[in-house]
Amino acid sequence: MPAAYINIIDFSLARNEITNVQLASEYPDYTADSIYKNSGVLKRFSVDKGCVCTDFAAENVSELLNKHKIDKHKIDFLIYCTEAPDYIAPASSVVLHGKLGLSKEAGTFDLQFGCSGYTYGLLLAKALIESSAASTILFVTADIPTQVISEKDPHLRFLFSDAVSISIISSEKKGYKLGEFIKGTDGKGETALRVINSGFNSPRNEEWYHQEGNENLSVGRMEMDGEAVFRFSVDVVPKIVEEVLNKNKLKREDIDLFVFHQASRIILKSLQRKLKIEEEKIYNNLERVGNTVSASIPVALSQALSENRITKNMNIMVVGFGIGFSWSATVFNTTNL
Amino acid sequence: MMDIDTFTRNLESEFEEVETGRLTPLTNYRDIPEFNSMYALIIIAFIDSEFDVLLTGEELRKTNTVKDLYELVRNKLQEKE
Repeated sequence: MPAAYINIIDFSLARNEITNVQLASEYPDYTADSIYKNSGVLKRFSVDKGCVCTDFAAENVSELLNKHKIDKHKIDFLIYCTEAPDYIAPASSVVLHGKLGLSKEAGTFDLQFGCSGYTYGLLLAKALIESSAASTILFVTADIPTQVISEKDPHLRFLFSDAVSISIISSEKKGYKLGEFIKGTDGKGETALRVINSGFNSPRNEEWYHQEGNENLSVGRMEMDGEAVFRFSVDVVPKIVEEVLNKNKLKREDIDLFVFHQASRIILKSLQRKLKIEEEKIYNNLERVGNTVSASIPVALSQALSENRITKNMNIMVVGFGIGFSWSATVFNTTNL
Repeated sequence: MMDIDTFTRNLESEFEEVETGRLTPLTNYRDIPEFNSMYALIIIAFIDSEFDVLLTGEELRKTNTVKDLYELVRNKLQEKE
């Protein structure tokens, strides 16, 4: 059975950088400093209003494929993770396939997951490689949470950011070797974080558009119960860490770097304290990037590599967790980096 | 469990915008001018990481002073034993 490796990870942030000074000018109750203290974010990035997510993805993925000199005709599977589908049907991965001009022999599917989407996508990619159903997988995450955030919800505007990532997964022994995965779901968390009025459950109507805060939204509105998300995160993630270690027959001290979904400053800080992880062993880029949903882990991995926080012969634990509630995690080994 | 003065100092150090010595056990923490929903999360996070007690928002809402919080945590720890 061939082992699966992530050969390349890279990303692009959305074009419009939004600073705390800019946000403070919109919200008189806050200063740039208090926005930072509340959110832990110095700058975040957004697409232009009205952006279609597959356009955002296609433009950036094409550039990244060119940058890494990847022959797109070799790609025989596209996994597209987003919470901003173009349509209810057809699948957005099909639309993205067309925009990228991939081979007609390539399979595609959508993965509508948020913060756990990256690790879920890797789990699926590993299964496709190990079963020989695919040989070169392009895994794209693209999220544009800024487009479903109301101007009346400053705490969400302070935190979230738009980004695209690519990962190439194959059996070529180069890059990050994928270890054993764990996964889990608690569907009772449905209402803790969601985009309301975005589907059949609660269709938009004229009245909705006229409700305060909805005027500038075209699709739906993000709602977050910060306390519920926090309680879920600090309760579940420590258990996930132990489970992943057991499944990979590793001890805590065997892990050289922890890369968690960059949920929020308070969640990352609490996890670090609760798990007693030394500061140098936990990666945190929230300040510079914000929470980029499904792109947060690949953005973090890519930045950690360029900063030499990731080098050869390391074990890196990656944990995706959040909306759903849903979670998945694994360990990468970098012997063949 | 740590004494109430240590609890008060440690909790105070979690609030970035509150200067040292401003909190006492009898302070109604909701009266801190900067108090907002983020402070409630900071309190839940502090108690979880210090005492492994994960409070609900409802439990927190029943407290007002630092002493109320301290006693809530002490009772929770006793229940665990």
